[in-house]
Amino acid sequence: MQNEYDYIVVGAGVVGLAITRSLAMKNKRVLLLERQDFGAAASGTNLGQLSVADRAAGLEIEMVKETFKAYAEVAAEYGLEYERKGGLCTLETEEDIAIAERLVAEKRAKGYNLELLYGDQVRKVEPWIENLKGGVYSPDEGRINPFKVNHWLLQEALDAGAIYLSHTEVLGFEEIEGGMACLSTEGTYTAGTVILATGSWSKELLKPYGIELPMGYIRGTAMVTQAFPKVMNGPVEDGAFFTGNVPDGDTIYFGGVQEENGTIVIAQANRAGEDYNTAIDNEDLTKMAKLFLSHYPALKDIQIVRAWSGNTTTTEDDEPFWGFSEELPRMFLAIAFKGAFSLAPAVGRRTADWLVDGSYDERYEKWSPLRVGRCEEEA
Amino acid sequence: MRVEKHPILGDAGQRETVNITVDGRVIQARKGESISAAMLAEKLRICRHTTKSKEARGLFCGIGQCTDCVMQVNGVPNVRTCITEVQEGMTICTQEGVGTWEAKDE
Amino acid sequence: MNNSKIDLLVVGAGPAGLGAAIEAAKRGAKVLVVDENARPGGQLFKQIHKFFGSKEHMAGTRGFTIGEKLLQEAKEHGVMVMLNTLAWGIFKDNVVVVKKDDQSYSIQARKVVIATGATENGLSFKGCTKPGVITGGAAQTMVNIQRVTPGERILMVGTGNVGLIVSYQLMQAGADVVGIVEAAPTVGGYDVHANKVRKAGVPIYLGHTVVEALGANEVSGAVIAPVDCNFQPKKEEAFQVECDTICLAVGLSPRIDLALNAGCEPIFSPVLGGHMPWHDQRMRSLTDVYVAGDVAGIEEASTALEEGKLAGVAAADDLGLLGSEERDTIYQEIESRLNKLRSGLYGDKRRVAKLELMEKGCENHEQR
Repeated sequence: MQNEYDYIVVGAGVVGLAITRSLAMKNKRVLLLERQDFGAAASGTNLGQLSVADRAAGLEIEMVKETFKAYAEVAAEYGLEYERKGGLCTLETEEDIAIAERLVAEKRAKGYNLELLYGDQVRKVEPWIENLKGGVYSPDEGRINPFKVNHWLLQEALDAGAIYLSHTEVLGFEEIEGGMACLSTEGTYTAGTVILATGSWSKELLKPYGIELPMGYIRGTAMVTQAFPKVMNGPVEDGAFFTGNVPDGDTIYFGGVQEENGTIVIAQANRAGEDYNTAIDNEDLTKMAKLFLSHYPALKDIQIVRAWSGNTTTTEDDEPFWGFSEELPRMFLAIAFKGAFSLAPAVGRRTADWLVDGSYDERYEKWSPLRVGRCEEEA
Repeated sequence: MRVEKHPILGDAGQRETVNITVDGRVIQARKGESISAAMLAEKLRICRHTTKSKEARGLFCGIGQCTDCVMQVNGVPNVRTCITEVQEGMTICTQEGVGTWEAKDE
Repeated sequence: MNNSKIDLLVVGAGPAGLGAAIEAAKRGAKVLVVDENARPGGQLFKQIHKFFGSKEHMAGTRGFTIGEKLLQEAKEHGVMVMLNTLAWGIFKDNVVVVKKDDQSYSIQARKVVIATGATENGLSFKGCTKPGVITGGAAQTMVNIQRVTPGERILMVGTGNVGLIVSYQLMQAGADVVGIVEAAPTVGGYDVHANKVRKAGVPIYLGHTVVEALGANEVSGAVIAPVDCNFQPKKEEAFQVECDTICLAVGLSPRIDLALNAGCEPIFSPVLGGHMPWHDQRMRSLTDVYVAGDVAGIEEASTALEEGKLAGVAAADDLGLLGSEERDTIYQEIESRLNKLRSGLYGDKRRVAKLELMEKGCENHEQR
């Protein structure tokens, strides 16, 4: 029996969209299934931050560069609001400064473009910021409008002939001869390969097939202000993400980006959890607002108009799961990419090259879903 | 036009006046009224211009819900003028786009 | 005030909110009402016309007098009212977070009544965003509270009671109403209101709609046209009307943001103005959350007041403050008053829609 599609991609987040687009551009028959609508979960609740400083040298940096190049090419046509005016990681204590001094030196030696700023030097890059001991400035970082990116990827996927079904929830999978069947709320679809790009929903979806991925959830809460005159240049991020120096129990981070329309997205309150959860916690909001105001006291008159939360996935080694699964050999996973907006177009292109042309880079090995079992055996 | 006499509400009577400045022009407002009301009495209806198409916007809902009437008041942008009472010496400016802003020294 | 525990927190000091507060306070509940506005009464204080209905609904009394009476009664029963206080979120365990001045406060309440009222609808036509296009409510606020006319020559859109009453009130304030436009073939509001404006010589353009607001930066005129059987304007028959203000009185929608935030289930009912939170016969939408007034379906002020009372009594009942003897009669009394308000040509439709709303939600709740 002939499969209806060459590939079924499950999940229309930024990674699923990018993979769908790249496969469709290779003239493959691709079906994209999404239980809500595109960009509904983490890909529609994030800050659109483009990060470089926290990326590993080698493969990851190469993919980030490839992604930025892809954005630059279509930014004007699709209005992506692609900006790289530099990002600032804030340092609040002398201890942070000491760690940053060591890390910045190490990273610079590896070729990262980073600058350590002391005291009021941070106001050179963010004029209204206050009460900091210093900051790590990364001129290559920036921001993009995540909604516009999702839209661009979907549009080009559709233009290339992909079929997109929203509000179609995948309920399960069946191995069939020469492929896989996806059982969904709208019927059964078959394909040679199923690509799972279901982010934080993956754990639940894979459980019945004996695939136990060690994944956790982080619920991030953010809020957005009314449109306001320009006061922030690039993304501002809590130095904890750079230094790794997180005080015990402290899950409220300082940070934010100002969108092109003037609204400021204030981030972020993080809570680790066992389940997918998008509740908003009052205490978190209050703490987050207070922390933000402690560094931007001049913005005391600004009005918050909305708050929301989204879930991202974490893995034990902080690396994504990318590659075929062991239990279902025709199922390919592409989940848990950290800060996916700095990677997705590259993940899409490389996934299509890998699946269609067999073009495989040995460095992908470290992201293989198969590493889970192996690690346990070795241990 | 101010409603001084009214068949049901009666005479407005003498009301204390408050001086406010709208785009450089000093106007006499009545104590307790909203900025929008003071402006309407002077036939001033443009509160702001939109960011992209620079279109004029003015009072719409009158109860603080729609935010079409926001202006820069005493240097702060996005103030809903329909629910903000006039104060003596208030400086009000037509807001261009999201407005301009400078932190005040305190 | 942080974390002060109270029995009932009411959001909205309009007729529904005050009605709920008074009934619960009467029975011994510690009640706090918060309202984002500087004045209590919701939209009552701009209603300078006499209300309809029977005597028990304070018919023949002007809106603002009803407002004053309610405030007086609330005060007598020890209801606390916090003004300029915006309730911006309802979190778990009935924690309502409010903003007053530059501070946020968390208030934990045993029960919450959401009486946030409605938002006026807009209408889309060329130039509809120009200064000089305002809502009927805005016009009413300006003439009756601020005592300034929004313009001098006003074109009203909509012949529901709001359109008719506000037209008349604009004239009472000295403005000229140049006409009333209505897309439907008949006047929507009560005849008594329509006759008043007709008698004053205001033309009512039935079967017409606004096509364009004229003017470089502000409204300086309007183009109106008759509509065909699909309510589309017949452009070839369009004509100009001279006016400086276009006033939209084209209906209201329940203001449900806070109810949704609390977790209430939205139900759609065109007759009642769009989406509104599901509630049972005693206005309960969630275990500890009640809704009342326009937020629970667009009706009018007297009905809002009765719904508020019902919610207040139900909250008192659920708090264990209602005597068993009273329980036998009080619900029936309020229900009978509500049924009277929901009778007649328009009232019946609303009564049926309200029943459908309750049932629809029930089905959904059972399915879960």
